[in-house]
Amino acid sequence: MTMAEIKEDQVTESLPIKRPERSSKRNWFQDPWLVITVLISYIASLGAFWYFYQTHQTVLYGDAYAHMLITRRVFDNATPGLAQLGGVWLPLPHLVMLPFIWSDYLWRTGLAGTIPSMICYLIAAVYLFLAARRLTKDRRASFVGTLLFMLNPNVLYLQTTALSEIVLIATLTASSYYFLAWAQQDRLNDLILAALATLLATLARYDGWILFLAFFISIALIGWLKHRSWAQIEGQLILFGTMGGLGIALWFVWCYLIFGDPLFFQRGPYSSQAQQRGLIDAHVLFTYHDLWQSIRYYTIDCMQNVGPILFVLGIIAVVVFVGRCGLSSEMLAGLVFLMPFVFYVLALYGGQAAIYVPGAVAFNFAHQFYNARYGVEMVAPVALFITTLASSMTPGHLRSLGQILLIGVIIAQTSLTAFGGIVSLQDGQFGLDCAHPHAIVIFLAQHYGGGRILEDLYTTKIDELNPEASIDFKNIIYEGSGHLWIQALHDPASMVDWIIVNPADRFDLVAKNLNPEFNAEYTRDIEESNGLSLYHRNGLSFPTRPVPSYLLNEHALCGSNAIGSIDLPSMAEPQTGKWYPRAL
Amino acid sequence: MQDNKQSPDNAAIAQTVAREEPEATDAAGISSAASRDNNIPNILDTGIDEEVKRYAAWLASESRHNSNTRDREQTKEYIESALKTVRVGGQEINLFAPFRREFSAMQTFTRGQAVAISMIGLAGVLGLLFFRTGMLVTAIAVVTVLYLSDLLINTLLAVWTLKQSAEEHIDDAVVHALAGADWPKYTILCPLYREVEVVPQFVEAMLALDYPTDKLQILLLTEEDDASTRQAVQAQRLPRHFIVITVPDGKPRTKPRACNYGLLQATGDYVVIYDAEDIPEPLQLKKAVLTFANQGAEIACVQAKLNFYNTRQNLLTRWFTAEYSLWFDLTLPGLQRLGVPLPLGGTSNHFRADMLRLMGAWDAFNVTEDCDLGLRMVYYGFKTAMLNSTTFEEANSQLKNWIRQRSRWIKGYMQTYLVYMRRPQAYLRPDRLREFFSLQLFVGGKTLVLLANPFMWMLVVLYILLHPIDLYHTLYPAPVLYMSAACLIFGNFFYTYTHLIGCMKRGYFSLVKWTLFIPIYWAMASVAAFMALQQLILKPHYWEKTQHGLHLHASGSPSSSTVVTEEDESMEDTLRLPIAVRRTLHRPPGAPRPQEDALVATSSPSNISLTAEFELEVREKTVQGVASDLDTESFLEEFEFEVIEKTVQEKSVILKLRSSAKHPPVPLQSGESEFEGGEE
Repeated sequence: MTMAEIKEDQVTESLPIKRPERSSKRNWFQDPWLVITVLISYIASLGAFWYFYQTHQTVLYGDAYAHMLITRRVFDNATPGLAQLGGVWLPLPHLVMLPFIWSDYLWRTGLAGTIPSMICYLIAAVYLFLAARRLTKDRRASFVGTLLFMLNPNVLYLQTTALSEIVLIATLTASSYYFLAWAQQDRLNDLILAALATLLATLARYDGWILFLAFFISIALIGWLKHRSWAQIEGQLILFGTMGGLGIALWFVWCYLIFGDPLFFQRGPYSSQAQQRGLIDAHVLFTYHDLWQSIRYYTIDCMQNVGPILFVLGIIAVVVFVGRCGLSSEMLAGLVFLMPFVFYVLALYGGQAAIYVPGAVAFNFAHQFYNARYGVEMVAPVALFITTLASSMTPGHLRSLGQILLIGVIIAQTSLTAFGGIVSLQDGQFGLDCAHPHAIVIFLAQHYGGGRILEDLYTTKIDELNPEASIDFKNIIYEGSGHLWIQALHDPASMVDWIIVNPADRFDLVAKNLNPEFNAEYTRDIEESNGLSLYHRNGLSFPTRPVPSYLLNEHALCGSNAIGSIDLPSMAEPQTGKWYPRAL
Repeated sequence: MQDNKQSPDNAAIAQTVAREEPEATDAAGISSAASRDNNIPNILDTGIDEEVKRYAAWLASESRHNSNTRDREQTKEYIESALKTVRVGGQEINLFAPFRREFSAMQTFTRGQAVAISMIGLAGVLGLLFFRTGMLVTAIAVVTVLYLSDLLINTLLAVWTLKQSAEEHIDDAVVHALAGADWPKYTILCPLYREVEVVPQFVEAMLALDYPTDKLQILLLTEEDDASTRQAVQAQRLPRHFIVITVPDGKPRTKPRACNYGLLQATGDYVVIYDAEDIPEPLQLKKAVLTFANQGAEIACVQAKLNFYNTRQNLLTRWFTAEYSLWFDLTLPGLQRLGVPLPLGGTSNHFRADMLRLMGAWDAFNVTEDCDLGLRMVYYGFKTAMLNSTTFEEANSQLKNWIRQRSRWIKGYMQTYLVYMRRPQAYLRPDRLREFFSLQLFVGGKTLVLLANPFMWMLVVLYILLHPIDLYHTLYPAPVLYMSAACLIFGNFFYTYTHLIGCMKRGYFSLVKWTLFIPIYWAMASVAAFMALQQLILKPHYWEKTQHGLHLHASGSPSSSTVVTEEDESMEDTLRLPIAVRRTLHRPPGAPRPQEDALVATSSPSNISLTAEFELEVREKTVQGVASDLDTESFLEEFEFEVIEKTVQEKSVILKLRSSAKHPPVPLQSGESEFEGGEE
């Protein structure tokens, strides 16, 4: 009997039984409100991008430059490699830029940072809608709540930048959604996905670390509430903890392998703690060891980012939600969304973060904006809880009316914020986060025609403006260039054509270690007010080009809101003698 | 022995079916009593009635098909072909299956393979002599690519399976509703070699199977020189559908040879192998038949899942359980979805008998005949489907015994790889490329990784201890370094994590923490791999016999031979409890308290005699997602057991109980002498 025979013989008798369709896979696109959410978020994202890109506002932040630069220098470097990701900022925001930063165009225009942020914004909007729908079982209310997030001007601005907040919001929303799903349905897959999203969140910003901790504790509490055996709780903790905590563990290992200290990100010279130390010593970190001020500062910051009306509504919604749910797994899972608030209050209290925002700092304080964007992380939680409020109204027609009213409030608040001032944009425009224009960069934009440049990236901050001066990063010899750095310091003339050095800054590693004989071989081109100087090698010929107009205008507002007589940078950071904002 | 039609333990439907009241059945054999009973959901309401009718119609047509004379003639032809003697090395041997040299591992290396391996070895030596570092870098790069491919494909499999498993789920309610249907004939092959200790347990498990006994043929295959096992079998009160067969002495004395001999006498339309220590879920045979119905004519084999009942006996059994939970619950369903050959498990693979004969049955020279057959099936254009029904086995609990067993498995994978790589050019066709990559990754690659692991670990340890940075920068150029680092970190994490998932999916929560140390288990597997390599060269057909019944030693409770049936007088002292529980209850006074985990999920109630104090864990399956612990509750009320811990889950109830002895212990049979290794 041949194979063909046996098949032919059986096909007539043994056709597969056509069974009734099993529960069909839920198709997201079967929910019209979800489709609308995706469409609106897509349009809002593109619209915001178009506006902020046209007005050259997507790369106002010094940190936005720095994020892109860290990614770029992984390959555009004299000593390329993943070690260039550094040990202070967590790597995920840089890794998501890698597919785009290869393009010179995307790098120089800042689009390499914008594109991943826009994708993260879309992801966050979708997961927020799904979480709201899961929590309320009300699709329309979920859409209305998500609208709050989608139209928030601060969110819309930040999703056009290379900053890491939107990456965190996306991962945080996703992890919270899956955690909520797990708390409701006990499905193993949801717990695994929650752990995976938490892993990403812990690699996006340090805020994610406390999220991990919150989930971990919540798993035990939910297990206890559901009368699970200890073995089961233990299993779930391990399953979540190993995946969710992997990023944290790897970061310790990374810091140890690359920098020789597993806590380099915490106690290294570029750490947030080191930077806030300057503020603490200058007695201008007003939240330090002051719980009330910490809560007050972050609350005001949240209010500035969310909008005061909606923020108050959000607080009411949280109270109603807690009262309605009581002590339940759903309540615990819902409250996890509020973790950014806890994180920032603790960080402000512990001196790990600094925020200046109008309304919180004294009106006559020199600097009104610093890290004002941190409050944006509370937009999604507020949107979620307002959804629960919008869905809890009964009867049906009142609920519809309430939701229509809520849409009106959201649009009104959005308009007020947009026209009254977008706090995260203002911070970039003229706050301490603004990337200051450097005379050196303008000079280089006019005259740089190639050749290597020696500088201490950390103290000079020139690196952030390299794209505008059309300098390939592979031509920069800096403290992360390994043997090239040592060689350049010892014998600069054999290695570099340009040197940027600040003899007045005792922390400038070039100034400290450069062979003093370099003065004979180099000529100073320009000296900025703080002593930062540019030198070129004697005999070097360089072209002269017109200065791009945007280079003169874009960052012109930096520090323009500074009032009073306090010279914060010099007071705040005696270690470096220079202001060096670093996000958490 | 009466027809064992009683139904699983916990389902209300099962209770209905088990009632003695006559059930009305329609022409297709569908039980209508089930739907009349108020205690169960009406199947018409649950939307399974159409499914049940289709199954019944299929079973009826299958019955007509299987009774035609043409099949009988083919079987006769097969037997004639299988009984031909084969001349090997001047000796005439009986393999009891048609000898197909191209698929046989009788010759380990073909001449071409020997030349190719020699050439590769020579190239390696010359490369080392002339290129030194370059050769090492190349070797590391090749191994790294293999690791990365393995990691990527396994990630894909895990994601797919977690998203939607390809395995077949047959609802218990559907099976019960088909109680009176025309089920096809089924043959169970049970190769037994020096398995005295577990014979009673095995007989008990077979008796618990829910299948019409007039359609069931259970062949107990004993070797000619193994009189003790035969005696132990004959000491049982076996019903007529049990047949003890003595396999004639001959070489190679392997399990596949015994199975081939059994197949010659099989009358079933379907054939399954169960090992001596197996406890299959009672509905498995029926579910397998219905899986064939669902999957169509291309399916030649339905593979049930395997897992263990002595999970927590020691660390080794915990790791072994984690490994099986991953392999059968995640990896194999993923492979099925990928549409590549499934290396079958050693037991619980259900075949269509005619297709099995068409393929030439098992290769008696291959020590993993299951893996071989899985690949051969694809060659013949057949497929395998996974079934979500579990057979519980004994996890090897002794290191030495485990290494022997594992070395046989790895040697078998090596044999199989070599057999299917005799003509690699045959795979160079678009329709066979997937098969080729699957062979490389899941048979050859898995083995090679075990052999390569120790060297790669050594490189990591050396780096940590000595920090020879420059040397490592040379050995690991940037792309290789990144791939290696990814494999080292994410690979090891991924494989460990998928084991965790396997345990969690199975509900083995207490194993999870132990699974974190499973890399030690991988190191042990590497030891076995080197042993396998040595044996492949020196003793390719040597069958490392695995000793069974060690769990009974550990619990101090040899398997009891007492089989209490509804006809027995001791009914008043019996209870309906899962079979695995029953076995542990039969424990001599003064014997150490059994492992809690010796008691695992089964789905059939049995009548038992209560004995001494014990502590146990009962897990009951449920029907349609509703937890039911009716049997257990009546059990508790009557005998005043103390509930130490109760966990209600979505589809099960787990109880930990403790009690004092209130009934005299049941006398036990003493165990037989221990097994000594098999022979070629």
